[in-house]
Amino acid sequence: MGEELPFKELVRLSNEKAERCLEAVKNDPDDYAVVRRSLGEFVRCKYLLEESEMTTDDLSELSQISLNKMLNQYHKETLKDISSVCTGSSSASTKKVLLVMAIQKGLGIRFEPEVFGKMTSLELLTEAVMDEMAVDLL
Amino acid sequence: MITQSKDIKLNVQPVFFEIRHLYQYEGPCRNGIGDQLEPEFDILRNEEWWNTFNKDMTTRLPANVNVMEPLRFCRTDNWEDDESMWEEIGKITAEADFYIFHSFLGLDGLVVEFAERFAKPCCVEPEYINPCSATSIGAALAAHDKDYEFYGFRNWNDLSKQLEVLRARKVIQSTRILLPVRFDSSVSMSAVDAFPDQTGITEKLGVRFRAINLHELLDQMSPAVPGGNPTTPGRETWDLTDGDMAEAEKLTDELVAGAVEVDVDRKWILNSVIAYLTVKKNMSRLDCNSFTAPCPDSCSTRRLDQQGFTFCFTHSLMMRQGIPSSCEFDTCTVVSQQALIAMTGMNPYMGNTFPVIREDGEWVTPLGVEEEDMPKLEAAEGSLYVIHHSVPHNRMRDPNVDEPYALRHFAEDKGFGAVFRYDFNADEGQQITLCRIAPDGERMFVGRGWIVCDGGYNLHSCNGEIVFCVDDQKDFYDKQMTFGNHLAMVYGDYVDDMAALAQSLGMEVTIA
Repeated sequence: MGEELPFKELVRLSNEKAERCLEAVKNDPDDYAVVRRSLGEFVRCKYLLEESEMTTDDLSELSQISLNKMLNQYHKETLKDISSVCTGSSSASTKKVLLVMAIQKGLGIRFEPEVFGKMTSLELLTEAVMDEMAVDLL
Repeated sequence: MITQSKDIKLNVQPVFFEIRHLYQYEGPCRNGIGDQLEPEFDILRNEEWWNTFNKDMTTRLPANVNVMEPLRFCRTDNWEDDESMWEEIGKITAEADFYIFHSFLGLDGLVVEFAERFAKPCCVEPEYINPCSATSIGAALAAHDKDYEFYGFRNWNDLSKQLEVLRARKVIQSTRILLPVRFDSSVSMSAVDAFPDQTGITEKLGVRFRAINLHELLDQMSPAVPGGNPTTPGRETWDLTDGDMAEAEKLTDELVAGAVEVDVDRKWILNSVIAYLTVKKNMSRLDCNSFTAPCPDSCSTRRLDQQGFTFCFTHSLMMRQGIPSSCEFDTCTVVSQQALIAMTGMNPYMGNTFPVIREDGEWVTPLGVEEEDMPKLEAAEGSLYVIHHSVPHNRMRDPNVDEPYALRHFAEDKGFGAVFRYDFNADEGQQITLCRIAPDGERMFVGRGWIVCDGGYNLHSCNGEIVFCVDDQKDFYDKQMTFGNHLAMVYGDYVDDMAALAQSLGMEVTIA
């Protein structure tokens, strides 16, 4: 992922790639391998991570890796984005929530809070998405 | 049942308060970009925080804490707090010893209200998890001037340490001392520095004092006789049974087999073991978890001479299991031992404690130090102290490891009264922590020392001692003056922990 790109441009391109990942999920909602691979790629794009940085399946850990990377490489921009000490609305957990909300919106589904709570890994995210899309197809 | 310190857990009730915005808007208490302002964001974020809260409750707290099922309550930006929330919280207040809240902007008032309603010790998560809450709530409650027990912590380590302290406080509050009485149920004919006002101590510390009749106890150390015991004719009593006797024989054999030296007849060991089992049986039936017995009061009945035992062995056997047990009806030492056990997990020792003095070139303090160890005293002259009683045991260095020990006797003439001996020379240089709660129950003395040498290992009778050095002998002595003669002690440096416990008990702490 081009580190020389301006931050905003990097985000825009990554979001475009992420949207294409959700399209792939929509096209093959029953194929576990496709959904798993596409959601993994979606997370990588939204979190602005390289493939080599996808070192874990754990969504909270990936959020933290992403946050650390952003603070390291794009400190000023990231700080602006996350510094809300008064309301406590910044942290790796916020990134995870926003990630899942983007999936909900992109796929037109909605997770119950308890389902979201159990969605701790890419694998569980994949299963939850497939379950929800199967319900929608019915 | 004898409920020991190690059996007592602090019941911690986690309570998760969450806030939900019902509409999309931004302002001074809420900001963000795009989806962050959606009501859905709050729902999912709260779920995420709830999971983190649960995980922290199961992984961040000390092992001797019992974490209760977390409770969860939601407040919305309609600011309606349902009374049923307080009813639900109120249901578990009898069981819960401490509450940990997850708070957030707009929720701190609920924690304040909790403290006002229930006056239970509580805290919020460490400061960095939700900056501002702890100091706000702390100040709000402090303004009430009602001694609300609310804590703020910088991190999980600070929080865990305080939970250890509060658990130790609970252990002390759960102390129930079995007291065989002949004359006075507060202070015996020796150790006049015991708690004189037991009712006051019960009110302040929660410690219970359960007196039984000394003669009835002594009667129970033999099999039942037709018509009942002399002191309680016609009553069924807890006399020595065949099962007790078999247990006494077995324990006697084990103790003899485990000793490196046995310089006491087996029959006297058996008598002392019977006394120990009788005391333990009474502790169990009366739900006591600590013990002390008077010395001159019982000695002068002549029944100890007649029955051939002293209580020394009982004290040693109790302490080596982590059960408080003091010589001379010294209730202050019993509670001090309990404090040390609860705070450190170590097994205590106790004894007369006084400075070791040399005058005109002569060691004038009575000591049982062997000649070959005397040079150690020379090297530390001026800073020496001794702790002395015939109740050592062999599980002080590690509560789970049996060190070598010898068995000797207390009575010089007849040879009865089995006593333990442990060679403290094996632990030269070992740091020790000493403690005594003052007879007024308002103050705690905590001292530090280092073992110099053993005394009395080879001697019978009321011997067995540790000679140790302190930082400043005069300062130690001056400070000890208003606390008392017997100090309890454990191996290790726990001065700061004991000071924290004293503070939690509302005691003034004196450190030497």
